Amino acid sequence: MTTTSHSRTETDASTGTGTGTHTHRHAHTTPLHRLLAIGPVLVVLSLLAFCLQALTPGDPARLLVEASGVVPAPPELVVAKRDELGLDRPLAVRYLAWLGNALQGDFGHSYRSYEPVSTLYLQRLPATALLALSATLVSLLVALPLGMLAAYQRGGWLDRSIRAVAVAGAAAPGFWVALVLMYVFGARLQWLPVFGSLSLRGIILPTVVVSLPLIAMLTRLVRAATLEVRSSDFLLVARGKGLHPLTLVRRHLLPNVLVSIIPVAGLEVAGLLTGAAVVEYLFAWPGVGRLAIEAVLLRDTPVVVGFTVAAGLIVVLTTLVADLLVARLDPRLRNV
Amino acid sequence: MSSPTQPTTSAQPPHATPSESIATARAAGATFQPRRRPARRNPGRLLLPPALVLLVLLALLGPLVWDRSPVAHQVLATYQGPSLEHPAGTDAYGRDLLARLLVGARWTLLGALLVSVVISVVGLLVAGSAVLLGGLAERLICRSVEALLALPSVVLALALTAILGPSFRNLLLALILASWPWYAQVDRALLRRELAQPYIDGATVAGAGRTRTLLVHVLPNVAGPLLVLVTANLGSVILGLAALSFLGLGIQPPTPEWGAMVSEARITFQLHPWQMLAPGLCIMLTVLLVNLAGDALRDRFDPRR
Repeated sequence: MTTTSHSRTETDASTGTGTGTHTHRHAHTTPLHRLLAIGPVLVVLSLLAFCLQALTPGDPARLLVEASGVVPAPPELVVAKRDELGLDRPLAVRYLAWLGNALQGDFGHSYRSYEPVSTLYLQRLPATALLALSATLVSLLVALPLGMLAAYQRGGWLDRSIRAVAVAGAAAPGFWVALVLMYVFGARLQWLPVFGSLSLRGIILPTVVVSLPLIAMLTRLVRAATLEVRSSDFLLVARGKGLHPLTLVRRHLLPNVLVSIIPVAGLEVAGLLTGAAVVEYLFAWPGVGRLAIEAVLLRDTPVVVGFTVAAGLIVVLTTLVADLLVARLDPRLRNV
Repeated sequence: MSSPTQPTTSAQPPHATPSESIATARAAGATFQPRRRPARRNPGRLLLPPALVLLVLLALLGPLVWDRSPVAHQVLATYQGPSLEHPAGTDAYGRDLLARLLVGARWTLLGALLVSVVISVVGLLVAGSAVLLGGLAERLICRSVEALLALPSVVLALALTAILGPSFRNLLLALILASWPWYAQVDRALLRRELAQPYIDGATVAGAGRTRTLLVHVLPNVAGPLLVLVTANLGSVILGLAALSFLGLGIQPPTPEWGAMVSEARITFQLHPWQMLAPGLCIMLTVLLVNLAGDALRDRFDPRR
């Protein structure tokens, strides 16, 4: 749910606790430690996903047989299917068997299409990555100038209107914005396709919907960071020695602003990479988020578990990259 | 155990009496400095408390005052425009839209409030016990919480409602289970930061145990920031609740809920856009109000300003 995570990280960052955890973590762990910690995280996640699916009512064997067109499913076929999938074995045995295979790169086959989970996932990943990339670029390109502008015009009408738009943008429910945009640009004006397709025109609406809350949050963060940097001594010195305003922004302001927004933006990008589920579902975007929704609804356990593990991997790796980026930009944090 | 001379908060001189420290605790972070009012106040903020009160009153009393049935069909009066009888018009079944919006407000607002309260309590309990236990237990708790955070909440909520069946109670449960890890993590950071303050050493020297330090000294001091967190997060809880309802996981028709109403109106939104716009605008306005309240609270409590 992109909407939730957006405003969450916003509060996280603006109350200062988020950055608190980050620096805290930095002081104590190295990238290597965190890479090693991925293992346990993934095991916990996969175990959780496994148990959740095992608890779900309904018999996957029966669903499978019925999905192949035999309704109602004859009992002997269901029994044979249970046998084939090994569903009668205890949960622990099934999990360990899955774990053994997963360690060798085999995440099992979909209950629905018999395709390997990794193939299904990797087929859908480019669409999600494309949407995540375009949304990240758009939101940075909009939020950085807007936030700085607001900070430089602090208290003026421009600042107030930018902040008002940011507050409103954070409050709009994504699924509703998507529908309104579909109505206006798709149905009424007929400028853009209503359903997202992997084309330049098709990506515009999903990108706008996904970036809107991101822009709202980042603009506020950039504004706050710019205000803080502007009141710092080093900027006074830089200005005092007569640096060109653009050089000032590029060499002094931008790196410092980036340092404070990258941890938050990193989490958001991670969320987008795991799949902006609701938006992908609405625009029929062929990404991993929709894959996950479909898999949960169809009780396709192997796909759900595979998706969960991939999501964990993406989140841990993205936050790691974000921290390395911050360390690169800010020499004071380079103690790792 | 606690002597009257014990420094209770960093904001106070060491000779503060316990009753003074309670007063301080109530105001939490606000007493770090003498209260400075920014030169320019935002006059719009004055409207905020009345607007919030109005919102809650509408949700609580609205359906009693405007006592039209939100579910009664009127086959001859579908898709009517605004009139005295139906100020917001009627929907596809001729149901009064205003009545539906008012009843929907109850579910959305009260549901989100309940979720927020429960997750903040659970998060605080987990964070508190992690900090109290320390060592290996704390690290284990942290790792588990981090693992849970990596799971996209919409997928978790979907999986949970698939297990428990779609109903409003299960939707709330799913939201709670999906969102408490975030609170646990933030709360732990808050507690840890507060525990590093010098007055904690003071309390320890005065003989306060770990549990007592946490409950009597740390908790009142983080109450302000916690309140800010809960308020600032309430908006996203409302959005999450509406999104899951929109996917059909929450309350079942015909009972109205804002997210579910948007979803119902989705099929005919080309012909009757107002049906979809109205509940969406309600969600947006509510979240806007709540977020502004969160901002106002933060400006008041944030000791860094």
